[in-house]
Amino acid sequence: MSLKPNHRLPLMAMGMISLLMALFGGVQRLGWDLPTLTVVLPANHGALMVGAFLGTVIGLERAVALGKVWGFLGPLTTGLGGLLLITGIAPALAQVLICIGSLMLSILFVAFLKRQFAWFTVIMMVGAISWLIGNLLWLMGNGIFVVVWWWIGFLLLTIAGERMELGRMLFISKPRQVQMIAAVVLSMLGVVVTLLDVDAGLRILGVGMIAIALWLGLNDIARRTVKQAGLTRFIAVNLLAGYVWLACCGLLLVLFGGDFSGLRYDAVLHTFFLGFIFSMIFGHAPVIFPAVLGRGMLYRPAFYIHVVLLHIFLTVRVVGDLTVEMLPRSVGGLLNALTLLVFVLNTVLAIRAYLVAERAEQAS
Amino acid sequence: MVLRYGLSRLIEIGSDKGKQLYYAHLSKHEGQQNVNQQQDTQQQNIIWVALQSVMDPEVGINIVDMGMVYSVVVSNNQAKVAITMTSPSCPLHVTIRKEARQAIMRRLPKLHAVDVRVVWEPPWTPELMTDEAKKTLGW
Repeated sequence: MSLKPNHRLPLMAMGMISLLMALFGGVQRLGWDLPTLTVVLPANHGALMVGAFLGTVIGLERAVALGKVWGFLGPLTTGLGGLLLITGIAPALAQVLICIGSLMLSILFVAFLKRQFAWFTVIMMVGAISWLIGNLLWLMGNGIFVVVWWWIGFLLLTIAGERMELGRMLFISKPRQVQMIAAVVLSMLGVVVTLLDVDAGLRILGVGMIAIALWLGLNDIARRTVKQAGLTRFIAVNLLAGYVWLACCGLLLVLFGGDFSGLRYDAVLHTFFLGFIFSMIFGHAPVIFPAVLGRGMLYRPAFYIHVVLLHIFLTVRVVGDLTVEMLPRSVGGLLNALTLLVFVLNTVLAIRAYLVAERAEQAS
Repeated sequence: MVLRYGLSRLIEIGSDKGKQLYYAHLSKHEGQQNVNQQQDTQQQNIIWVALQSVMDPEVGINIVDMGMVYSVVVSNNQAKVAITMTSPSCPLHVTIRKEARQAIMRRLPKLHAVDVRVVWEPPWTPELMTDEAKKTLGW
């Protein structure tokens, strides 16, 4: 038995609060003079974004897929961990809760493999384990600079696994499948090597990312579905744009390795998390939110507004990072935060539009 | 057969009148059965058509052409539909089940019950897609 949609709402709400607070902390990090909500927000920006927001949303998505109440323990703990990270109360407990969330996600994948064994599910499970390892390293006192590559491994493998699953519909040949698996293995190898040699590890990770981005750009089903219309096309556009940012991130890692002088670190992280990950989120939100929340969402061409804004302002920010110009970095970053608010607003309006359409249909 | 016919007429079995009555009932009963079967088949066909309006949003192809609908059975005005998903870890089954149910009820509002179940055996494979779906994906 699954958790009822209304009971999932508080979990999603906790994830969304973490997103909003992470944005607030992120804008403060850029140097904008905002009132202090809690002193820890700027420092916890990354942990809130990855562990508390993405961790909760992905955990919810998988728990709904499994359809068992115990599956929701993961997003519950990451959601609560996020609230603690926002307030700054009991930071160690927050880390423990997020660790439990990542452990639960890994266990969920064991259940999925029992349901049906598939190699792409194994890849996603390795991604969840990467998140767990990163969280354990974080709990042991390592800085975000050390653990963030494990968090990246989590998201990279989650998406790679999902895309390979859909790739079956195109009957991709065995050698091509092996190419993708090799790129995934290379990426994870790079993540592991960062513990021994950051420079070498990041360059390997960068090569892996470029390989994954190229593979997806050439083989992903989005190449075909982008020719369709409406929501299907919208998803494909986001995916293809995301692959470009993934390639950019990989390229920066190959070029810089562990040399993060100036604002290079900022460029690397935001090409990945904003460019790649948020493109995936934007694309799949109209499909995943209805499934998770049990409420329909009407696709609207207005969704392209937040998509276009994301790419424009992220480009401005990254150019600012790479040229060490503070103004474009700060302005681009601020406008990117506002773009995510436009996304939240567009999502709420789309859910409302669906409700209105449903009531009209029932009345007629 | 006698029991099916009922105790009230048992006394007449063996007599000509009894036989007449029995065969008249049987033919009426079987006729009714045939009518019911025809109606069930008709409703099943309507459901298959209705399910063609339920899309896999990522691929833009309906679940019938995707080969995700395993069976449609209608009996006594109750529909049982078995669908599968392309991935065991995808939450979309929630939406697809709901949409499938709505699509069926829209076409056949007089059905007493519609049960749409997600099954994982046998696993979905791309070979289950129709030729049309394969063509859309550029096979």
